Parts: sequence; C-alpha cells; structure tokens
Amino acid sequence: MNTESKTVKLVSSDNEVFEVDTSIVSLSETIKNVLEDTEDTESIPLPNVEGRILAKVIEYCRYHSLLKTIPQSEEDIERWDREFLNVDQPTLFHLILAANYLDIKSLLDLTCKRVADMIKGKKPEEIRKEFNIVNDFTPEEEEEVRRENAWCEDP
Amino acid sequence: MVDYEPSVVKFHLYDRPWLSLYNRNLTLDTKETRHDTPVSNGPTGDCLSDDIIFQIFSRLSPSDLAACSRVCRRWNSLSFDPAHWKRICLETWPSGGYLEMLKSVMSYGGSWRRMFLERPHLRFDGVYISRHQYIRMGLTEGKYKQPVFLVTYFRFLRFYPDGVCILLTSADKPTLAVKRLRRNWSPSASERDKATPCTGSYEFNETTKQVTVISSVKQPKYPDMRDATVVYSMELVSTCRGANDRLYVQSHFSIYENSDCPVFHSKDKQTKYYNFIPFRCFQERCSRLFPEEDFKTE
Repeated sequence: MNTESKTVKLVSSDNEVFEVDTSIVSLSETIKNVLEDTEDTESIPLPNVEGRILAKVIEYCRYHSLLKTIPQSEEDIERWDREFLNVDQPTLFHLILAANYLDIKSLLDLTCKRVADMIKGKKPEEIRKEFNIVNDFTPEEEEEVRRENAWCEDP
Repeated sequence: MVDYEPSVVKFHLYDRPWLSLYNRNLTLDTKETRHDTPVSNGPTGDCLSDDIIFQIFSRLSPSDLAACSRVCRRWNSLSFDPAHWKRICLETWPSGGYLEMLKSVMSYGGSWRRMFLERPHLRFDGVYISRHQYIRMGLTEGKYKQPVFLVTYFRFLRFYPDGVCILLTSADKPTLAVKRLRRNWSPSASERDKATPCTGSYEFNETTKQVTVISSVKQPKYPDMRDATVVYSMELVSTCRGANDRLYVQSHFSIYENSDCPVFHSKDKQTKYYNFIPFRCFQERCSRLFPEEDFKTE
C-alpha cells in the first residue's frame, strides 16, 4: 500500500506537467501498466494528449477514484458526468481519443454514449455536418445505399 | 538525366507561352484549396478509429445505424459489422433464447442483418398510427345553411418487446399524443382531462404475420362509457424490405362488461391500416403522412 501516497508527473504533448497521485491515475490501464513495469517512474510523457484535455481527464479520474472512499448516489454521479461532458464537439473527440489511448474504460464508455446520443434521430446529411465528414459516395452508390436502407426512411 | 516533367504543376497562371513549344497542357492545381475546408475545424469523424466507431455504433438503434451507413463509405462498411446486427436481433426477439436465435440465423444464410431485415417483426422504435375522419351534421335551427363538422381522431398502437402494448384513441395530434404512449405515463397537469392510454397485451405469429391485440378499456373520464375488452386482429405488412410498417385491421370487436356477446365493429373504409411512424424525425414523418394536418404550431 506504499503506492497510495506516491505521485507521478504526467507530461502532455504541449509540455504541461501535471503532478498527480498514482492512486488517481491508475484508473488508466496504460498509466497503471507503466507504473507497474518501472518502479521509480517520476514522469510519464503522453505525446498523444494535449494539456487542456489531460486536465479534463485528471478531473474525471479524481472524481471517480474519490467515489471509492466517499460513495455517491447514482443520480449524483450521473449529474456529475453530464456536467463533465458539457463540452464542445472537438473537446469531446479529443477526450475519446485520450480515453482510448490511456485505456480508461468508463470514460470511453461515457464519451461514446454521448456521441451516440448526438447521432440519434439525425439524418445522414445532418450527421455529416455534425461530425464534419465528407460524403465520398458516388451518386450511384448513394442511391444504392438509400435504397438498401429504405425501410427506415421514407414510408 | 534530368526529368523535365513535373508530376504536379503548381503555376497559378495558365499563360506560359514557351510551353506551347512542347505541346504541354497545363492544369491548375486546385486540390490543396479544396481539401482545406473540411479538415480545418480540429478533429472530424474521420479521426475516430474503427474501434471507437464500433463502440459508438454498438449503442445505436437499427434505424440510427441505418442512417450512419449512409454517411460515408467508411461508416457504411463499419455499419455492416455482424456484432451490431446480432445485438439488434437479440433485442428484437428477446424471448427466442440464444440457441434458438443461432438456429434461426442459419435460415438467413448466417447473416444477422439479413435476418433483421427479412424476418417479420413488430417495430418498437415508434408507434403505429391510423387516422379516422367522419362528417357530423351541425344544428340547423333557424338557419339556411347546414353546418358540417369534419371530425378527425387517431388511433395509436405502441408495442414493447415483452408482449405489452399501449392503445390510445385520441383527437390530439400525434406529436402531442405520443407523449402519453409510455408505459409509466402519469398525467401531467395539462393532461388530466385527456383520454387515458390503455395497457394491453399482444401476440405475433411470424408465419401468418398475424397480430392479435387484447386490452381492457377503461376511461374514468367518461362515466357513460362501459368498461370493455377490445380485441384487434391485424396483419403485418412491409412496404419495402425490412420496413414492417403497416398493420391491416382484419377484425375488431369488443366484449362489454356484463355481457358475453362480442360486438363487432365495422371496418373503417377509409383507413384500413395503421402506418408506422418512428420516433426519429417524428414530426416530419407525421406531416408527410397527414399533409392536411398542421403540426407546426406545437
């Protein structure tokens, strides 16, 4: 249990340094593995994660590791998570990428669910706009996929 | 040897007279500027890896997944992942049991997606609606012209995977009434004087595509109305592959309280069937289906 009080320095892609408790960031499988592999790690460079995103991720980890000692009601956790994800779309995408890279399953679940909610009820054109995706179908292919999916579109 | 032929010519002027000596046709390279626009606002849907898209898709309903398959080529191929369609099939036929489902999918060439599209099933992601209209004569006392009223009302049917269905007959527009078509509905202050939805049960026979709905009907709001049990017999029809979007009423009868004799209701000649309207883009679908109604005011 000597790891409890230990801290580690996380270095973001833009060289911001965050000093955090190892118990907090071990929510991330990636960091946990690094800490287990090398005993006296002082700093871990995270070249895939920007400073402002890393700050958000740490905020998430701090709250969720605190839940182990101070339990909260389901609604409170849900409300906190909802507040936490009240961010613009680029930040949300960066959070997904960070959660994936750092292997934080609960955060990946949460962010993916948020994106799924953004898709719900939208038409293909609206989804493209929302996610900034280019329609690369040829007109023939587009007609083909429209026909293939006619069951859910026009009556 | 020097290669005089550049692969891409980036001059922004067409006029290079000396090049005519070589019979060279110049094309202005506009590719750079064209590609700038979509990528400029930070991450796009393209930056999400296939794994992440998989995670996102595994939380979507069949019709949302179908919409995603029309977004771009990559999303299209990712949307065909059998894992999603397997999940959807297990959600659509929850009572089947896993082994039974594995047997069933074999008769669709082992494709879960094909099974979802071709095996008849009632849809749970929306409501079945039929509109009824009749003309009622107004009072004529002391007047030349006889006023007539066009009365419109709707019948709603919503199915749940576990054999429960909700029935509602209401003059309210579908966009308004749909709020009441929930299992745990309890009237809000403004809904207190509205018709109450009834909770019944249904059975669906896949081979005959026959749906039987049974429900007891109670309207505490109308004391004159006798409590009754209503029975509908309907046939499920698809207007295109996988749609399952029409319910043709074959017979409809009620058994009133303190009576053993069923009372058959005549078939409504103008509205012989219920149309399915999914919750996604509900208002838009309603106005397409009933173009005369005005759905914009709400």
